[in-house]
Amino acid sequence: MNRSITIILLCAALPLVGCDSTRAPSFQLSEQSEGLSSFAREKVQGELNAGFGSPADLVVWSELEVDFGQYSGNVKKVSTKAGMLRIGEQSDDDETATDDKEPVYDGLAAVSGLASARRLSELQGAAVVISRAQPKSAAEAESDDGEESAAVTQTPQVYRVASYDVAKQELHVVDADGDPAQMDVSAGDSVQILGSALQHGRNLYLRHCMHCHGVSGDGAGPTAQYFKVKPRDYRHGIIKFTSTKASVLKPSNKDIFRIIKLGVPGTYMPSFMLLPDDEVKLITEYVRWLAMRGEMERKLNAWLVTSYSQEAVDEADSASELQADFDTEWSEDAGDNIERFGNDLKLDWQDADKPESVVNPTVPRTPSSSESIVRGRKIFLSKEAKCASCHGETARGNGPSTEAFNDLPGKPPGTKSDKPGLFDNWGNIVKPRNLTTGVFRGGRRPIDIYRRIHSGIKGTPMQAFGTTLKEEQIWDVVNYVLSIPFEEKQGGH
Amino acid sequence: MNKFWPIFFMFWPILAIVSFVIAPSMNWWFPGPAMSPLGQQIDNLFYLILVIVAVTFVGTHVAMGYALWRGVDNKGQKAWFSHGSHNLEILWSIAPAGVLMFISLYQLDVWMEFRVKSHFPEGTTPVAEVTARQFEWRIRYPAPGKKLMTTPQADDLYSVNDLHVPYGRPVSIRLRSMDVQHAFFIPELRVKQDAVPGTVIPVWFEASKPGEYDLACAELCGWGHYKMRGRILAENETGFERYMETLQAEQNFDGVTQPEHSGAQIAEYGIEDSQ
Repeated sequence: MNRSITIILLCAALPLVGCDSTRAPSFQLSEQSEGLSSFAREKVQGELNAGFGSPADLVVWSELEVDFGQYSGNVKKVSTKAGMLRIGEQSDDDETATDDKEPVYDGLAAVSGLASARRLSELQGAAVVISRAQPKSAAEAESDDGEESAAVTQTPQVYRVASYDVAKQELHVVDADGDPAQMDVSAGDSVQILGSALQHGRNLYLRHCMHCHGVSGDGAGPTAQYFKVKPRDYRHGIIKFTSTKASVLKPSNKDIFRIIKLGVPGTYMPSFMLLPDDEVKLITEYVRWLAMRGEMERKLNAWLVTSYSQEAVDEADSASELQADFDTEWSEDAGDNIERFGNDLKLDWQDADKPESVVNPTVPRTPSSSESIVRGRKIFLSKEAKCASCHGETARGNGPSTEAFNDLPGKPPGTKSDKPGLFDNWGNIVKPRNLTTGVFRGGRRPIDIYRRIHSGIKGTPMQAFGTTLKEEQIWDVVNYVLSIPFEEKQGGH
Repeated sequence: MNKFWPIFFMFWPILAIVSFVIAPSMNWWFPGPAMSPLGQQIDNLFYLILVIVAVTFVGTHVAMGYALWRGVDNKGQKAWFSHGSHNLEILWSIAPAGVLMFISLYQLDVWMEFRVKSHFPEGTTPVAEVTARQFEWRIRYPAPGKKLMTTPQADDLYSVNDLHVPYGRPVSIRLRSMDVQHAFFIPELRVKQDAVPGTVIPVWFEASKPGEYDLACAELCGWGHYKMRGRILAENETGFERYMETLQAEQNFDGVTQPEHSGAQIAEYGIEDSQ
């Protein structure tokens, strides 16, 4: 009797416990960082927190090549009520008119562009940066010096958006502790709202993508474990199907946009065709940002892992001496290195969006004919292209390389796999595409196949043939590849 | 207090009837009026059955309420014991059987037209092959001016989650599934058909008006079931032809030759690389 009462009481208490919803989502360190010594790991974690924050508290690091979302304007009028800004379209003409209509302001700022932002409800949590206006005389005096005058402002005040009332156009602002902000503002101060796009992107990402790609973009979300083809781990900064040249490391914005819109046929990545374009763009920015966070971690790792791994600590004569060395090196080099890493990231990602980084053939596609297809097949089997060594002579993705011990990509040359097969940069076995099925993961347009051949598939053993093959030759291979699914079945195949 | 139980038992059927009466105005009803001729017929069948059921429901409850109410006061009177009445047994066996027989025969035409291929309306054109897969609708159209073949052709056109059809005439799709069971459901057209792996099921429908119709999966097909949202875009003949030509230009794009029609589809993707 007592036992059943206990069970009933325990069951009744279950709703109180809930499903552990109190645990805040957090970005996980990669497995690599787990190999670092505890003191180095702490610094890496600290650096990532400073540059990127946590999922609930994103950081706008303006060095990065990301559209964080920004609205700016000036304070129009000051009020006494704490933590509230009234905003609207900035217009010099109607300033007096607005004053007449609403003599009592709860808040104070007119932020241009904000009222036209598409989803103001998504502003919550975005940073509000208020910078003091310069005294007029000073500004005028310095205006001759051009841009320098902008640098001589006071430290800006940073708050967060608590909520936004679209109807009343009221922006409620809180400080770091979540209390209504006591702002020190006066008319003319500039107001910026930062990070709204990143936050909106995060919200969409958590809704649509996180369950496979994971909170940190590590491709290990809760549903990922059921998949044979693993979701992309963005943290390497590599996306397989890009329109960019082989020498360009990153995908362009459009590449990611297209993958989200159309999905990747033959994998578990579904199409998000019906999501509005602007939402897909926000997700694209967030995915790029997650990739940059992962890359930053990898760069820090690559710098520290040789000297300060856990292994090194275990082998060291004196752990405290090693830690002292680390502290010295960190205090001397960390600033420069992090700046350099950030700059590298910026340049790499900027590169990918330049028009000249995109593979665009200059010769139009050779019309598909049996001659072109035969030429393509010859190249496919040739020693120069060696397509058949992976894809197989019948293009079923069963070439001899799939049974060999190959070099691991992304590792120093000569690093062999311990299992036979072809590996990608993420350490998974990849099968060369079976070209007879008519399913093309990176798209089925001739230009898609052309780019696959021209710049390879990044992060995989699929090489770039843009330099070894002429444009006409690539088109012949494209024609051959597109014809394979419709080949007459021959005896012996 | 004596009347409490009759009132209690009568309250629920009255609530049921009231909620049915106000349902359409509260938007608790169909997802809009049927947008296809067949959908209208299906709705008519639904209403016919609803009327039959409503008459039965109201009739039995009024009778039961009357009996309860009267029974409160006539404690002395003895009830009529009807158990074993042969006539009554025959009556309430044959009457419902007759009603059911009527319904099953009456709906046969609509059923045949909807489900049996030889009874599809004349001139039904196959427009596309729709393959459900976890968790999207992959669509294969024939090239403009060609017929939809049962096997993929080199010049077929592909799309995903976005099925364009001409409106005002019956069209059909070949419904397939690549993995598990799904269901092709267009609520506004009252079309619902399971997609079964290993089988090709022809489904026809006709949108009477141009516009966008939701396409949903109506068979729990896995954790991403909710993601299987698609749309049917019913257009006029020119719009449909232009879409097919745009899709063709998009799909044959080689990065050099400019597509003849730089229409909605390409702009919508926002993906064209060369300006």
